[in-house]
Amino acid sequence: MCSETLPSPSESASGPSSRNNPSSPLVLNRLWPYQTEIAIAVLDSVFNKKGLTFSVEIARQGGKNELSAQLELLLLTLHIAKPQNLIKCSPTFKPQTAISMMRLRDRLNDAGFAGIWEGELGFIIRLGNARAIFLSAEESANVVGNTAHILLEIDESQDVNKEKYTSDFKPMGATTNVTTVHYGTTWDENTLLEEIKQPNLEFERKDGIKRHFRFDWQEVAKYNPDYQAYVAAEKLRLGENHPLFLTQYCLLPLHGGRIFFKAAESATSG
Amino acid sequence: MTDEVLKTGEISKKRGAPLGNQYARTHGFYSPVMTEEERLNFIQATEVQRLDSEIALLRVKIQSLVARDPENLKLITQVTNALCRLIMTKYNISKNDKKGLMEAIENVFRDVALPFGIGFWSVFKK
Repeated sequence: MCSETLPSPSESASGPSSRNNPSSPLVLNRLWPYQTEIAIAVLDSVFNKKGLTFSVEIARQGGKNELSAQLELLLLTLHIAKPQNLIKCSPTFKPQTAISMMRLRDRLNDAGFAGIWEGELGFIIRLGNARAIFLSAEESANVVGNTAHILLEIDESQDVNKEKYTSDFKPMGATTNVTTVHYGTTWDENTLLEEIKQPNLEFERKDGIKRHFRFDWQEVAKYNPDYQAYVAAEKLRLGENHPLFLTQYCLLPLHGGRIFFKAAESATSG
Repeated sequence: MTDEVLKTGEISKKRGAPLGNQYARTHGFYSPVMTEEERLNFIQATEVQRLDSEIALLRVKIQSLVARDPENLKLITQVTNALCRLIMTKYNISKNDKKGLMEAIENVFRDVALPFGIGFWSVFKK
């Protein structure tokens, strides 16, 4: 049956050959090594249906959304023929969910899927039969009833309400043992991200499987000189002990950081 | 022909099957219990199932290929192209979009999956 549909060698040779041509330009940005490390761990869990829950802390502007978008792009492509969903939730629809959707649309277009992917209902991007569903974790948002078959992503997990996550989002992967990824930066010790992170570290001590990934600004700056220059300037501007710098770039949680941060932020901006 | 009969009162001497003939009627197992519309729907559904089976088979083939012979990009490309054709057929993707779909899938494999290196392929093959 397969042989009937296989193209002839000549037909194949006349088709797209960029894969065999090392000089052909990339149409998608390569992920940095620290992003790749996370992606491979997540994909291992997805492909092998391990159902692991990951916590990912990357310094502010260090590439969380790009990593997420490329994971979504790859998974949608691999599941293009299956009526299955991946679900991503963000603390708010505007701007966070909208930004995530925009990022995925851009990557789909970059890859060449323009005109092939379709938007549905304002919060779904469909590629073939596979769907990426983008939901808000705002307390008023009615999101129950969706099923995450491929992947469940929680963006800015430190800002997502714990009860909302437990009651509305976590059950979306119950029947599918879905792999879950929490992205974010540190804030204080009471956040959802921190609640996921601490058991992850404990599990890793027991079974050696890495579930928590942490890459602070220095790790990101190793690969991106522009980022290094930017954060160095922020360090000078804010001071290295400023709560904003400590949480968002050094990824160090603060005791009561939320209150302290807001006070310090208004003092800085004023 | 009917008009002719009404006007002239004579039976047409044209050649061909008489009105209401059932020469083309199929007498398969399902024919007595299916209307023409049902039969067409049935054929369509069977076709979709056949495509699904072929798509599933090719997915397995690709996984097997990357597991056993990940360096054989030519063969992987051929099987991926075949997969694209089936997907296009299933989703009624036009010929104009065909090249685009194939290129897009290749781009994702080349720019996203391949840079993951052996780490990716070792998890993908399982």
